[in-house]
Amino acid sequence: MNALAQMKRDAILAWRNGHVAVVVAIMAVMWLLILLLPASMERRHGELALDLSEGAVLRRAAEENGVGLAALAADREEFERRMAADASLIGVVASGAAGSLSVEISAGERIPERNLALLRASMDELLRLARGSGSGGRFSVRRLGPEAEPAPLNLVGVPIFLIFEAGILGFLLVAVFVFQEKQEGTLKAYRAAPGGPLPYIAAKLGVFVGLSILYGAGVLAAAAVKGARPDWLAALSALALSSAFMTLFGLGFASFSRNLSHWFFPGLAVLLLNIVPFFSYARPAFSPAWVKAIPSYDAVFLARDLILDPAGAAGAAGPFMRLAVWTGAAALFCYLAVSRRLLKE
Amino acid sequence: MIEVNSLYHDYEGKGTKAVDGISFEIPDGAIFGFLGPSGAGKSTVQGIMTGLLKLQEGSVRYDGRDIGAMGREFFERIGVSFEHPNLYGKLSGYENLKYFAGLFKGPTEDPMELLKLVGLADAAGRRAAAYSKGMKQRLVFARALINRPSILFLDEPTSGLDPSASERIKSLILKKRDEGCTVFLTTHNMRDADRLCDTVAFLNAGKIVAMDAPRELKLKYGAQSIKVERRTDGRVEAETLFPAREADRARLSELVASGQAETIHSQEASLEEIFIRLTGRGLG
Repeated sequence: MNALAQMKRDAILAWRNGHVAVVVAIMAVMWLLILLLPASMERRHGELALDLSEGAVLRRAAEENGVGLAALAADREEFERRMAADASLIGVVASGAAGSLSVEISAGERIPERNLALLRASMDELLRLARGSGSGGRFSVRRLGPEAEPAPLNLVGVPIFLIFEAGILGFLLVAVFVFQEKQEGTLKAYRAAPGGPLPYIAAKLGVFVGLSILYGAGVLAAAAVKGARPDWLAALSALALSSAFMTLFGLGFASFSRNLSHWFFPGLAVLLLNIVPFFSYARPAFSPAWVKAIPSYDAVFLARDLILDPAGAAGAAGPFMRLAVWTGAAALFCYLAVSRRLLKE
Repeated sequence: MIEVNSLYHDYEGKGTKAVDGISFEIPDGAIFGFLGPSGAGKSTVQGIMTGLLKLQEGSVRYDGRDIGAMGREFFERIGVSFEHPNLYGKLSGYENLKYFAGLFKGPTEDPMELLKLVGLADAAGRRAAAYSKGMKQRLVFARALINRPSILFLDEPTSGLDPSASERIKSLILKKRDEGCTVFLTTHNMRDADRLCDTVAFLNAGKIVAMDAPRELKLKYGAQSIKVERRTDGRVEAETLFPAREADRARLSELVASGQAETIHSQEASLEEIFIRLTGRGLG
């Protein structure tokens, strides 16, 4: 009854403080990003080949093996003219004798490394065929998991939108609540009543996790409209757990600050640290051990699997457990900070 | 029965005591007043008695039980009205009371009835931030009554109130006392203390300098005086004479015999005058 009354009060305050409006506005922005961004923004690059080799080895090898060369220039003049006219073309010039064929690849603008790598691999294969050394060695490939389709551009950011926004909102808005209560003196009145730390914490946790689920459901709905097939229950559970962690940690953290000014720089440092796993998400090669230890690392990659590749989320138990442990630790920290610091001032 | 013994409190731990060896008892159903200027230690004592400040030295017992031994059930029994209104500004007056009532396990008053009692029924739906200082003070007082407390702690309950509202609050305090509630009242308004309190303690620089019923304090420390007004050359002049002094008795007889006296009023010392006499400073 105590916690429920406080939760109703905090929900009304969240509404009248404009916190709900902020969450809805951010959700609306996420909707626009998801719905309006294209699935891909990769530029298509054409190829232009010039075969100066003895006996047109490259052309014959391509024709005999069914490897298409998008376009073939008749001579160097045509090659250079067309390359100059279209900066998006990738130029391929083959020269030399059949036994010592060389291929030069050039481009008028920056070409994604992936495209160049694929072209080099194709040329290597053609050269082997041209030299008559047979197809290149085949390597056996063992898949560790089901092959995932690359996520479309407008959906790849959804886990980021969910986990980091909800986390920031929980951490920041709960601090705003606490400092407002300190400024109004209502904490003093609460201390002279049989409230206690647990209902106080439970009320704020309920409101902010509830807000994050509302936000998350809205963002997932937008993703679903654009073709995502998230595991709704698991994804929202992961979001709720992540939000609970940030809210509990944020409430405990705010207990040590006198006001918002006093909280600002330490709070900002925590938020920046929380965001570091974003770089791992964007560049998975950047995953040192200390980044993996940050709770949002597990949260964002878990969200990615549950939203963009539910079939590949078989290993979700581990991250869920780690998030649960972090949340338990945050709950203990919060309880101690609130009962021994915030409600003792 | 509330028993406070040898209470000391040092805010900064540097030896400067805000409360210095205070002891008193409050029987059930009485109004006990702490009278003193700002900074005397009144709110500090109240803070210790309500558990808002840590008990450093001394003891506070409620019906023989030490305050440290009491759990959350202690807060089910008490109501606290603070000197500085502390309300949720974004909630209405009604909502402030309703959600505060939700903190208690026991029966609570109807928020709307309480708002009527303190004259805030018409403003029930307005946000507390829009209330005047006096309205906020009344709302804080109403909140202190929400859980039907058996002990009330009132810190300057009539501060900022107009005479009409002040009178309403004082009547409610007396009514609660008549219902058996024990009231601990801090004020620097000597008229309120004189009217409301069964026992008054004068507090100065953290110490009690005198403690008794207001009437007894006046009899013990106050000097009765007589104010005589006479008209001279068309102007009204007043003289205050103390019958305890022989010269003043002679002067009084002279004035009465001369027929010049237009009005004669006996006056007893006010609590403020007694406080000034005992401490050398005023209540302001």
